[in-house]
Amino acid sequence: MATILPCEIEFLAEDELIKVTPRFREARLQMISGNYGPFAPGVPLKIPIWMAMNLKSRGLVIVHQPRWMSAEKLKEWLDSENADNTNAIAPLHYHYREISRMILQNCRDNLSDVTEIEQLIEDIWNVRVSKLKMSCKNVLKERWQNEIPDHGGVFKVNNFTQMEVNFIRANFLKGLNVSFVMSNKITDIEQKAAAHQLADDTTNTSSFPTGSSASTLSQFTQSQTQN
Amino acid sequence: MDLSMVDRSPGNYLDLEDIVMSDSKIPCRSRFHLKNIDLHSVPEEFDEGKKIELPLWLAESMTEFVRHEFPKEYTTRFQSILRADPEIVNLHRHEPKYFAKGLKLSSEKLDFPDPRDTVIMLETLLEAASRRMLWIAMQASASKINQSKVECKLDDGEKVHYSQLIAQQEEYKEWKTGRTGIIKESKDRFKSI
Repeated sequence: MATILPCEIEFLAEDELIKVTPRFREARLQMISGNYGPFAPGVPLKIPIWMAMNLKSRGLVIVHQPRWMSAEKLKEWLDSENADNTNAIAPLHYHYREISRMILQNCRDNLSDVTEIEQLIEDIWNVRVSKLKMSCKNVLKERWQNEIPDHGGVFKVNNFTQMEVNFIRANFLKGLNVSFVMSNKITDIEQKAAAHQLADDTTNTSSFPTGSSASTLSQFTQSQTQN
Repeated sequence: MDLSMVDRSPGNYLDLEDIVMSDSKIPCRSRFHLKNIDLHSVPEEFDEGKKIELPLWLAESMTEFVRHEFPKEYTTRFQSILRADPEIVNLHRHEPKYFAKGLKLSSEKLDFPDPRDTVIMLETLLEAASRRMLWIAMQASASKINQSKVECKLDDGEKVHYSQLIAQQEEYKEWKTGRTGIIKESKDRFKSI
């Protein structure tokens, strides 16, 4: 079962815009994904993360810390996550894991509270992934205890990011597939056994009509008598 | 082995895993007095009710002549052990393709005495497979664990799944530490003698 790699998810996240202050002058750049610039020293603007990382590695920009990536906001988020044992809170950014990794690796000198932010991101990730794993475990448990619908079941994942869902994808999908195949087989056998039983019962019935046909006959007889 | 391929004829006709699995034997009992049956390169005679071990692919074709029985790994006694604690059972020792064979045993071509036994067997397999899958995921994400000790207990399908989970964990760790861009030696390199 093919899954997307973490580096591929990061590649998709690199299209997000981030605020930078350039140290060079350049006219507006016309790219396929959009127009960026013009670049003037000391004038902040928003550019994609892939461009920001490239310019940062060449010393041409100062990358601004995203507003959601402050120690206070992350602490609040972690406290909200810890307060609810079952459901995940809506993330501060859909690509928080990927963006934080790129910025912490390439732009440490532009950030404040680096160590604290690293630890908070790691704690938030651990809490959210453990909630997701628990939900998956409960779903698989329900499938072996109860009947699975004919279409296999529809599941909705709320407030989890692509990176988090990808982390549990392989195991969860395998569990769903295996339980679906086996459950289908059980249903087939039970239906065939029931059909076989019904066929046996039908061949063993007497010659007198029974059920609805008998009541119809008696009603006809009664109406004849009345007439 | 992909379980959805087990009972899907003719899709599984060329599947090597299915061919190997179908070669494993199940106990059968002859319905009639059978003469000149050449199972072991010498013609033999089987009285009615005599126990014969036949490979699965042959047992399916001989439903007219034999009644099928569940192998001991799929009987009530073993199933009750599996239901109680599926994580500790060494499935590889009993049957390398345990779940695939269990699914194959539920085929309508096989004639077991009571269909309810087949349903109970499948329900036990379903629960055991799900619980073991959760246990395998937990073992794959544990940091310091002897992987060979885990692998030796798994059936072939579970081994493939376990190695995929381990690879996924490695990919994630490498991405987290920023080592995905490093060029590495290919695992397919043959060492020169």
